[in-house]
Amino acid sequence: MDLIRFTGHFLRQSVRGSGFTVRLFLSTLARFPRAVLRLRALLDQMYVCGIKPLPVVVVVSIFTGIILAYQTGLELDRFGQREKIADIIGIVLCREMGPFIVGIILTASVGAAMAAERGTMKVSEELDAIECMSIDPLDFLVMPRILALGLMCPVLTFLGDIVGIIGGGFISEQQLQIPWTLYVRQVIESLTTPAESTGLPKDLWCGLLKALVFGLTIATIGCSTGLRATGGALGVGFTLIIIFGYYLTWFFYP
Amino acid sequence: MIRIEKISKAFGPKRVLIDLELQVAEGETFVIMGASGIGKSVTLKHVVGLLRPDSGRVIVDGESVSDAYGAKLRKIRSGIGYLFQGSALLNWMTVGENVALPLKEDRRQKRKRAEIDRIVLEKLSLVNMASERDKLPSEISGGMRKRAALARVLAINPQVILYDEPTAGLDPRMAATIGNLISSVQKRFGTTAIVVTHDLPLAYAVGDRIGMMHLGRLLEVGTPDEIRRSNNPIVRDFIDGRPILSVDEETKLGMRLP
Ligand SMILES: Nc1ncnc2c1ncn2[C@@H]1O[C@H](COP(=O)(O)OP(=O)(O)OP(=O)(O)O)[C@@H](O)[C@H]1O
Ligand SMILES: [Mg+2]
Repeated sequence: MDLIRFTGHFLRQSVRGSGFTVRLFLSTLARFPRAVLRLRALLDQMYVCGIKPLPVVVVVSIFTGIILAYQTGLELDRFGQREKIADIIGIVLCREMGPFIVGIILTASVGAAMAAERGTMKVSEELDAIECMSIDPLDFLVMPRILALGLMCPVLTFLGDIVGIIGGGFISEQQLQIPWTLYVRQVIESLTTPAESTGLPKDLWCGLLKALVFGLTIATIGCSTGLRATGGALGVGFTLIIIFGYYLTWFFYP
Repeated sequence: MIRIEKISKAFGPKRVLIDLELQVAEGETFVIMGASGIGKSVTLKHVVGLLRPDSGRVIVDGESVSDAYGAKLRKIRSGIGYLFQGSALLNWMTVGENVALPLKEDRRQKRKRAEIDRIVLEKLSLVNMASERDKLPSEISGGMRKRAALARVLAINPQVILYDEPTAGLDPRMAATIGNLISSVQKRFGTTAIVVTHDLPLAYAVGDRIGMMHLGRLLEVGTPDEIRRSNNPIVRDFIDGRPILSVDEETKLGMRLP
């Protein structure tokens, strides 16, 4: 009996929470043009979202590239296909792993911090004070965060992709005896099979688009969790990212 | 100027305000005293519309705060300053930027940078905080945060000021300074004020009238002298500082709302 009630309560809370989050995102989206008036807050947030997590992104990406090259390389070698390593690394990193790694790092660091920060502000009456001064909290607090993370997530992903490819190249040279020049040429070639519509390498821009969606999602969920000051919703955010990631891939590579 | 008309407020099963009534005339300073957790801060939040009553309404300067939304609510709020109990400074901005915030965000009046700087310095000097202008809230003491928050309140020259424990955490002399400041602001600008405090010297010094809050309403209202000489046992216990029985026991005796 209790289990049923608990489940019902949990479901109702989740639905209500999602409604709040979606509404928060849409109202904030409408305020994006006003970012020009909040340039300083935006730059502050871009520093927090983009520069601070940079070392972690670099380290994790480089090792992802290394591991990927090492494990795949050994297998490919058995089939005498070791030159394929460059294609695999380029595509896998840019299309899938790059955005995913950055998404997870940002959820754990920046997203969690946003939730915690908004939460403390609610308790310490700062949100009340902002409301009393007739400042729109979405404009003042939420918009710069969502916009900054939405912008910085693709940038970090792009950097992560490059670093990961370099890591993979390092292993390719050391373990698989593929010269750097060949490796780099192959990566570029694999990524420059352009999509007919845009002329840009599809794997790259799909990955970056995915990163943009991740960034917006993480910041929105972080802020909405904090504003409602309820714990636990970050786990939901994490799941959402994985689901979004899956569907985006499915959408572009049917 | 402020008229609280029989407001009731409950949070879930917990009843906090029950048909609370209060009128504060223009230029008057009204002090609310009462035990911790009795609903003093909740009352103030109703006056700025941060909380809305379950029944009844609050009128400020002829406008009902409890039914106002959007632009109308913003207009009412622009005339009210609220000194929060926990100061509520934004922790990523310096003291000076905090004080400048309501001026910068004022949509009806665009001010020049130099003018804002001048006002910030003037208000900070008023609370003896000019030298701390470039520090972050985390780098100053609790009492200093309180004074910085007061400077932020005064920055917009409000006609109504709500002080939530303005002297909590201050030493006696600084408390007296703030008391003087409250009086002098009142004299100079004719501000209407509600002061929530447990600080009896402050209450007697600044209050035109004092109200004792109990069981969700004002139990006794009177001039400082009347309150000082009150025979009401609950008022006496409070101003003589008699220790409480346990909270559970007092609830059983009907001295607290369950
Ligand atoms: N947002 C809220 N949600 C639920 N309960 C609340 C809320 N705000 C206040 N309360 C409850 O209302 C009661 C009165 O709180 P309030 O903050 O007004 O006390 P107070 O008189 O200001 O006490 P203190 O002197 O300690 O500041 C408390 O029991 C508190 O638990
Ligand atoms: Mg209080």
